Amino acid sequence: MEGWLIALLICLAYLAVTLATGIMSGFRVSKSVTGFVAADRSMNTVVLYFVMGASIFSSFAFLGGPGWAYSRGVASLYILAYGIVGVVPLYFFGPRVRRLGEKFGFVTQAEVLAYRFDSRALSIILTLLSAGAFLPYIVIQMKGAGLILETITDGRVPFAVGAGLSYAVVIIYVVFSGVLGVGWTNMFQGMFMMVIAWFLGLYLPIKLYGGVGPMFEQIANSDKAQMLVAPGLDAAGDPWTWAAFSSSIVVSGLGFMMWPHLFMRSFAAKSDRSLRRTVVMYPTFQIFLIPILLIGFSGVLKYPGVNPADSIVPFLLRELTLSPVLVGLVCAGTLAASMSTGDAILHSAGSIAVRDGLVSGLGMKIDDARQRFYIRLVVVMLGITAYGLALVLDQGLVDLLLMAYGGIVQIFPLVFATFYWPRATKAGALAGLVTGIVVNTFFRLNPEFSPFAGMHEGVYGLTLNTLVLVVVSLLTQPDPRDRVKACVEA
Amino acid sequence: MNKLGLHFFSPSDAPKYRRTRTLFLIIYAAAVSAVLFPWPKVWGIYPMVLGLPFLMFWMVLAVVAIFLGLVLLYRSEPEEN
Repeated sequence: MEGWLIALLICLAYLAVTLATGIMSGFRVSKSVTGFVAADRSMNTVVLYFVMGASIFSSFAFLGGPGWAYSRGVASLYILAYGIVGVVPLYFFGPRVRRLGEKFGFVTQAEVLAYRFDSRALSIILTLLSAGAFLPYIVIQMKGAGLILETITDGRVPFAVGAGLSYAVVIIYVVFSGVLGVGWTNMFQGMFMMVIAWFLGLYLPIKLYGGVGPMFEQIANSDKAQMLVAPGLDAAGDPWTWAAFSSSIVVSGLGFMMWPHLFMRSFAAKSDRSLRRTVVMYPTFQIFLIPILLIGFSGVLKYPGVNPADSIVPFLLRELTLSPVLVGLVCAGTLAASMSTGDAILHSAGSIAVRDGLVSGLGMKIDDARQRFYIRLVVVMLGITAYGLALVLDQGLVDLLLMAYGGIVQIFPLVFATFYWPRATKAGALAGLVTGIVVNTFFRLNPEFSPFAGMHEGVYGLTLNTLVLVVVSLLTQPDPRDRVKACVEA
Repeated sequence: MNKLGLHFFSPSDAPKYRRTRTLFLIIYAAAVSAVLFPWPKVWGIYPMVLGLPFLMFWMVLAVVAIFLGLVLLYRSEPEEN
């Protein structure tokens, strides 16, 4: 049998197992919105651990991560740093979010904040922000899936077919099983990704250089040594600045658990303990970025000049004469990374559009069964829209995503104030959030106005956001005691 | 509630739990500053440990420190009813 066919069959087998797992899990949950969105608040640590890990590590981890290491060296370590720094806040606010959800029936992030600040406008702003962040995110995941299948089959499976097939599987199990479909498939996908990453990350340096140590020694003694000198290189290949490195860690770290699809998992947790234990265990998932980055470093000396850098993994798979079984497994691992993020995003986007957009934001009265139907409808429509965009869009997606990320981070001061600062008011929260988003977007589009060259624009947004939140809150009447108390003492 | 009006603990938190929590926050702050600031000698290639450039090893250390801190904190959590 030809190599590409063996690899393709492995990927198809992976897709079949994922589909079966996803559909079977749907029988374990009630037919209510809480069942569909928050798994009847029943997830234990093991499922939560893999849901968090696998949702976080997207096709960016498998393609972009090695690409960063390959082109920018140790700059890529900022990804490792912000993940570990950023997960800790969840340990503290996650259980509170969970208890509020149980008490008031919340299943989305905006429901908590809109309750605390008694504001419909907040629901609408957060819905729009999520939409702006999710659409490019999901399109990028689809592109990753399509590209990897196209590459390993030398174009015999065209991009459109590969992306379409993998995401048809995702849409089917998300629509059928809701968050449990996401949960159980992510468990399988997450384990698969970890095994593949550790294996490939150690195997490539050994095969190409005789070990991880010798690989770094050789890079350090070559003309590429600069990429190992902290904080690595910028996108143009010049030394990166300390301000850029550190501010990226701060902004990405604070924004990490503000992503609605990750934040929402607090509601699915069975108990405070299961949620806390998930955070405690998360570093064991995060550390798999080390082998992921080693994959990228292994290409530096042997295969210079791969462009774009993100294609280093498919490139290595093609160049090295690896066994087709291994190629198939790596390809399936990349699909797992893409799909396990795509499913969480699609699922959350549906939930947010209906719960926050229609019910809270526009005040529509929709019964439980109808809500569930609409959520599924949004999942399918969004999936199809994203697929269309994946086929036509080429540039600008990453820019859009980074801009949205800057917006997502701006939720942090509101979440912090909800649980720790009783004096925050509705006016303060709205003014702060809007200021943060506007300032962030302004500096993103006009970097030449940045007071400190290279500084991540999210820092300016966050600073002014917090300032405005505090000042406006102190100038306005305190919010009604009952809601404030429910949150601060949750 | 402290002077800034921030509300970090609930009145029911036991003193022992507050102490562990404070200890955790110190470990966390140390790990965060370890990765954020360009400490002399740390931001270099040598000495390589476990085959990794020193900065990379340093980041792994920060991950391990936060992990151990979280384990410590988790073990001191009061039992749930």
